[in-house]
Amino acid sequence: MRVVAALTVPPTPSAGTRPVTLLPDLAQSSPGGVPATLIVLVVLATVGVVAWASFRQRARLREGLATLIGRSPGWRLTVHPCDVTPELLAGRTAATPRGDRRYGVRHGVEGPTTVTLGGEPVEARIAMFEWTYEERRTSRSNQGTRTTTYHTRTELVALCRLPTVVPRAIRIGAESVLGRVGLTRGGQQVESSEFNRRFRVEGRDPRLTVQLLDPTFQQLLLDAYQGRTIHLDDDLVVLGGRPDHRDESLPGIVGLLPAARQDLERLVRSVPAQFWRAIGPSSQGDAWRPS
Amino acid sequence: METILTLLVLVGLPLLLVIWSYNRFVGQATSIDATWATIDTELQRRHDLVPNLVATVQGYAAHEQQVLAQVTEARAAAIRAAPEDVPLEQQARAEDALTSGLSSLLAVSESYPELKADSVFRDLQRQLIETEDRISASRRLYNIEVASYERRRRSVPSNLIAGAFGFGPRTMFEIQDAAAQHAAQVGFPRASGGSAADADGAAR
Repeated sequence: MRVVAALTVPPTPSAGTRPVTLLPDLAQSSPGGVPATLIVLVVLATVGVVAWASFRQRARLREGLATLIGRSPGWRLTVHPCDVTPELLAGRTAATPRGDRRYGVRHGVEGPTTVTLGGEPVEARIAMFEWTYEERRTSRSNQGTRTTTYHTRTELVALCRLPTVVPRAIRIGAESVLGRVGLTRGGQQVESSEFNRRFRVEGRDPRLTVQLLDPTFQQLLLDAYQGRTIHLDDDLVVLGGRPDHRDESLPGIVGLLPAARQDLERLVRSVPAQFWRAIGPSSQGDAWRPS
Repeated sequence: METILTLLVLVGLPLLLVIWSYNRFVGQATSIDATWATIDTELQRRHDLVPNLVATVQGYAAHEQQVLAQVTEARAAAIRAAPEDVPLEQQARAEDALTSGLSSLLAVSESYPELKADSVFRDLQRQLIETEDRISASRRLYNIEVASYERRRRSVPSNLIAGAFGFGPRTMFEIQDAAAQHAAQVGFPRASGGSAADADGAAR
């Protein structure tokens, strides 16, 4: 049924036999025959529903974060995880790319924890957050017009500040497709060909890197950390990537934060003692502190 | 013109591949030698630590003569097996004997609280553990390099280059991993209370 019919007045002599609409602009039909008023109403309703859903989702995430930090004394929300500013993090680890425009930390929580280094419980600070950044995509239309759009990307990150300093950074990430078939394999190789196929390890001190990657640690990475990125630099361990489990009692991304913490603590706990002995206890690092 | 191009492809390309393969062999052999040098240095450092360690233990546990004599003899055998003309396998077995002796020596120290508390002994023990950590890591690096070199040396077509230019076989260095036998001893300030599991509240 056409709504426009209700808005017509009887024809006048001057108007001839053509019906005249009172709201000619709003009542114009779209090419498909749907009146513009209806389209406007539908759009407004959709925008309203989306805004409401977004508001509800943010509220649920806020409640989830409050629940999460309420579980452990000393935990709090943060936008500077373990006192590291987003500016220092951006582009420095594989888990925190700078992107092409905006970047930052959201849904961040941090607090004290006890990690196990070489079998000994040691106090440390740990943080989990979602790293967001925007990537630019440029497309060209048939008329030659270039259109640039920005897409928000996210990474889940867990970060731990250690009571020691790793003197030479070590990065562990996924091996490239060509590297998997053995064409461009680079970085530090280890005894396990399966590990070499799956992971690319970059470390400036080969001996320290090998001390980290003992056979047990290699197997752990193969079993539980494929697709994740690990970065040891100065006094920070940064674990990127989504865990394969979550806390079902917490909503959305917040439900992944405890799992990211568990994964990071397990990772640190599994670092061989000889790696920590090679580094030794030392004073606070300063590479991640604002100058 | 076509003939020149064909010649370039037929001669130049294989020549480039030969040069590339040869240079890679040279690089690998150099890397193996360099890694071996670090193992050699660390083994030497371990040999140097033994007399001081034996002397310190002797001061507290003089009647453990059998263990002390075993370590001293093992060290002498390891030094005799160090020169380059001694087969690597023989050197490895001599180092294994020294590792066993040192493990016994450190086990003996457990029975002597005064010895364990001695700062000189503790410092020597720490140095020994760190040295053995470095030996372990360098040995693994060396074996990784040798494995990669041997894989190329036996593969086609790089085996032709290895044969033509005399890149001979290299032997892996397989010894007991002394580093894995030590207690953690990482030396970080311990947490005041609770364990990692206790602090796992947020990850229920």
